[in-house]
Amino acid sequence: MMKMKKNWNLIIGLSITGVILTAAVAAQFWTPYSVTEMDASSVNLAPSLVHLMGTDNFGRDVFSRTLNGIGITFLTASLAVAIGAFAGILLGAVTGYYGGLFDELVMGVVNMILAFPSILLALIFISFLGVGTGNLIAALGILYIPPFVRIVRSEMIRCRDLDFVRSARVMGVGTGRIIYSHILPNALISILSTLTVTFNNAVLSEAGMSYLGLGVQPPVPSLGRMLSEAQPYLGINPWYGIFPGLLILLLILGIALVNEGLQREKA
Amino acid sequence: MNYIIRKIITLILTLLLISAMTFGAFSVIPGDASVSRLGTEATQEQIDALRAEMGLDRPVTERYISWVRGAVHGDFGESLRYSGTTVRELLSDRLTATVLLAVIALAMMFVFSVPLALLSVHFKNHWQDTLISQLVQLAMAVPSFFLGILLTYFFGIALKLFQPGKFVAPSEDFLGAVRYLVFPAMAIALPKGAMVTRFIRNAVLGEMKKDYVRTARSKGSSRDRILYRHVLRNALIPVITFAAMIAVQILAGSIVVEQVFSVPGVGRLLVSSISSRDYPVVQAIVIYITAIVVIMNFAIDLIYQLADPRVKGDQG
Repeated sequence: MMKMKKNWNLIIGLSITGVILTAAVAAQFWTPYSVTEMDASSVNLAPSLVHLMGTDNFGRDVFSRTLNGIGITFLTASLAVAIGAFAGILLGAVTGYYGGLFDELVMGVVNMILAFPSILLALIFISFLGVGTGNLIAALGILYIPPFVRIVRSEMIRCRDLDFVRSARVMGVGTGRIIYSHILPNALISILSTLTVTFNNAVLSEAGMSYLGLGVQPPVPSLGRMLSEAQPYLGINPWYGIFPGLLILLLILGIALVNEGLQREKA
Repeated sequence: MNYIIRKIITLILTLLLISAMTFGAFSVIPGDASVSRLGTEATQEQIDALRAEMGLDRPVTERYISWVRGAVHGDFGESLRYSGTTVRELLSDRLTATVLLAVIALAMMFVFSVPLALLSVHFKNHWQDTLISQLVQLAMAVPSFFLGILLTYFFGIALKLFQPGKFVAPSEDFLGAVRYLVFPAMAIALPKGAMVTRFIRNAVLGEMKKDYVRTARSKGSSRDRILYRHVLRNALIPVITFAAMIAVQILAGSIVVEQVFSVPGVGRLLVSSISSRDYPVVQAIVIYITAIVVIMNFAIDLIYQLADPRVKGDQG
């Protein structure tokens, strides 16, 4: 009876993400070398047992900086997604459950935002707000509200007139409780899936914006910025340009596999 | 016809709304254009004089109206950073580079994603399909700027197929420009093409589950005939929509990739203008991209109606 096919996507995805997250958290407390200290005697070294990923143009240990930097990426992306999810679920629940003029207005804005590529909107927001990590989180957070609104709203519309909701209403259950404990759990997998997709977008946007110099500011290590710093030295030290990028790739792949696994779980 | 007129009015309203919003937002930002041009050490009199000269002492609404009046004639004012240069002059060259890049990327994307998707469909659930799916999964996870760096290293530095950073303007050497742009285009096209491949595969497979396919099959049509005669035609509509969405993303993707390959395009101008607070330029680019996005969506609606007569204009 309990013979379920193993969900390899979910297992591999969670393992990759778990390992990266653990390493990133650990790197906030301890790294083999200092993250910011420069060493003029060991500039642009290739990977070796002393420096696992080599050193950068200032002689800093790339391994330490990469692990520490992925922590910043995790934090930025998680906060942005948290803002989007919180506001989006709330807005989606209200607009979907009640409908009406407010619903139409919100959906108009939501569809307009969804029509634009997010990196472009992030750029525009940053040009208003100014450069900085906090501003980037705020900008991305706002951009990630619409997908959650859409997914929760459609679930509300689907369920609000179904029998189980009606009977709950007849029994005198309050609206907040109906939304929260009767309808919302139905949308759980869709919400989780949206979480993974937006998280990946956030990682990409953070790395992209930092690459452009409009995200995380030095001396805080950031994977995107490391790539842009590595670029002039590609000829002498290609490793510096490869490891930070590989780590971003792995993180995104891990989360995408989790999403894939969730989709199969749903089916 | 009524529908088209209504869409055009919506388009104009959207553009007005977006431009008013960006204009308003830029005018409340502390430290306006005059300060950024004169620097922080300028005296109040100097600032006032320049503000009057640039018309910044007038109220926002008045400035906005005169801006719109100019914009309608293609006049977006002057750049703050390069004084004496109009925004239009700045944009025109870069526009060619960006559009060329986007077109090459789009073409490249279709050239490999359509055959791959059909191959995947043909070998459904065999190892070929699995292999393609895994590759697609991997390609979708590559950030385009990282791919750009890898391409720069392999094709530019190791194989010396192009000289990174030595882009020649299309007006001087068109073929040379195209040859250079192949590599940034690849960086954009690969991840997006992977998404399109997967989308086409799933759209076609979904379509093949439908009743009419079984009917055609039971009447003796071969699998391939059904695929090319019926299924592909029906799967076309969602694919077109998706492709148009991707086209917009390709344009946005060029913002970062232009930076990686030092292509002097619109994206690069946007980034440097944001850093140096050159607001007239930022404003113009925002408006230009908004227009493209809105017009693209409008085009998707129209194609939808042409491809499927059941879609009524009223719903749009």
